[in-house]
Amino acid sequence: MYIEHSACNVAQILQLFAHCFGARTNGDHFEVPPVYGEGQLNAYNFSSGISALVSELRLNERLLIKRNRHSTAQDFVLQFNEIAETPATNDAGIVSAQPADTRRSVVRLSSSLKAAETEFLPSYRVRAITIIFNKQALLNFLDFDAIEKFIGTFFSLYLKKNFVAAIDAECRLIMLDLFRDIYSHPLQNLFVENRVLLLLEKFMHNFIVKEQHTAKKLQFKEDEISRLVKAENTLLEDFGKLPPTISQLSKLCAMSSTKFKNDFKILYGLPVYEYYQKNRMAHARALIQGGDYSIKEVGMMIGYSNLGHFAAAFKREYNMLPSEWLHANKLHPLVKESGYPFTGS
Amino acid sequence: MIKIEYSYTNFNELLRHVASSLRLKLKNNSAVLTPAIGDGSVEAMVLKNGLQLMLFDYTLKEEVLYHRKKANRDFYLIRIDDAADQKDIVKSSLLFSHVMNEWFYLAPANTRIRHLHILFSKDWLRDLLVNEPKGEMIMANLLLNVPLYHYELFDSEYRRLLHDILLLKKDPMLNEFTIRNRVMLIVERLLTRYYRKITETGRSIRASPDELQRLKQVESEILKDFSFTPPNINQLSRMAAMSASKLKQMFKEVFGMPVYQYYQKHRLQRGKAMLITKKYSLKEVASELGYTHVKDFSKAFYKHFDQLPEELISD
Repeated sequence: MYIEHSACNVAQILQLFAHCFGARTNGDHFEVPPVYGEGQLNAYNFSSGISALVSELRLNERLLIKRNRHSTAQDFVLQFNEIAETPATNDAGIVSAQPADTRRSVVRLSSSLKAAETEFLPSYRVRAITIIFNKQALLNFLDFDAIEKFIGTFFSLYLKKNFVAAIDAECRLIMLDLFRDIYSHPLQNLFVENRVLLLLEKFMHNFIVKEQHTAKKLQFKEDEISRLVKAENTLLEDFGKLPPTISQLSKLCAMSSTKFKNDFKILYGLPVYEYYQKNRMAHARALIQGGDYSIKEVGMMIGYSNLGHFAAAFKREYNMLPSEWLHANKLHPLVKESGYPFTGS
Repeated sequence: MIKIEYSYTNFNELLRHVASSLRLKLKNNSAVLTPAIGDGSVEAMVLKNGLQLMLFDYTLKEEVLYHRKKANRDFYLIRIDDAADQKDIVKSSLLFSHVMNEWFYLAPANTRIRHLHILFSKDWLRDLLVNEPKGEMIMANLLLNVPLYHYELFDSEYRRLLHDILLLKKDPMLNEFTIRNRVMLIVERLLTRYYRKITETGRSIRASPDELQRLKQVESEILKDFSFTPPNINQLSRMAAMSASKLKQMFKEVFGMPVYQYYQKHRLQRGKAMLITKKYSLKEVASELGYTHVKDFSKAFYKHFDQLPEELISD
């Protein structure tokens, strides 16, 4: 299946989908007819001028969406595409769902001034958030100088080199949160807008971090990204064990250790073990907050045998000792419910 | 003690007032505390979406009494007040209220205090809720829920957001954007929980304007004079021209708590406000509130505030 368009308007894109599947939209909502697979799309136009298309799809056929360039005004399209499930064939030839293969999950920025393509592979369950915005809309959030810097320097370089970034651990949590509650939330627009803006904030924040960490900019091939994402998954797999060494990780990526270290830093914004440590502490904070474990247990669970070291590391990250954090929360009975993802940067 | 009285619905003006009370020099709507008075900083901010914020994070050498006086304007206020003293005793509260409501806050000396106050007009809130699935219901409920005192459990999620807003190091280019996103998460969470609360109690308030008027009459009657025993339910129900059970039920829906619990809360708050001014002795306050024995008053006070009135005075 094939959709070709030059729209930068989520409502129009929704209509194009509906047309392609020979069905009708229900306002800003569209459900894929069962013959084509399953899934739904929702279009949101926020009052700030930012719009978003939130979709969760598993299609029976390959779908290629081609957006032609249109040069009236520049719109930016920021896509977070996550493969939630990968199909696999067993010995009997039956297709069954496999847990997520995050390697093909990517963040991509494109501009309406350039053509772009998006592909939905058959049988993959894909969760996608497409955020469309322009300079005018950004004025609702940022100062003029900051916008100039982002659009003029960061975005243009990114677009010129066709960068693709990985969805990092924080963004994965934001997306998880979004897709879990989207259809039942009493304040659906606000709920979606807040998470869309968090994703945009993270995306923009990464430029600044990267600028501080890297002198030269590198270009990635998609294959390289998938290898790096695999290394990232391995790195964060189990905080209880010693993390894999650089040479193990670089072997996993089939790269030299120098190239691996440099590329990782550019893709994730932090050096390998700083990134590891940051996520390790975030994990510790979540465990402490969950209330099921003592600080000592949490320290052990994330691989600290010396509690003093754990406390010091925690304080470095959060300006607060784990005991202070626990204490501050303990005075109130903890309410366990869906949390928003970590936004500490 | 430093007393700061105000009724502003403009946080920049309020900040100027606070700064002059604390003898601080403002620069770009923020000020750093001088060592003579304490340390930390105070800041006011107007976000691009129209929200007004007060961001305070300080330790003072002298206690400060904030007294928000009734303002006759249609603004809502979310107050997060978080205090941790040297013994690590943390007292935190989150209140969703209206500027029509009078409010006191005593910031004790030598205590790390963080305030995050969020102010917005009724029109702002209406615009926010206009397209939401349950927006109309929330708005209608808020309009009837007068006076609005919606307390939230200041749980770890809120704490994490407060922490990120006040303490996280941010890049200057994304500073406001980062704060905005977290403040909006607080607003979202608060309104979501407010919605859950009004739906969990089974029904929303269905009082007619006339009934509401009569309920307010009952409210002002019980809060009129604390030195006498308050009227009993039968007397009140006659006043409100409704049955006793209907009055009890409706009062609870509209004011959020049973009649005499509401009475007691305001009675003790009045007592606390009197004590804080240090113009009255404990005995005078007790008798003003209708207690014949100071000891009974102390006991009730302790039950409500976790602190003896004697301690409040001696502080």
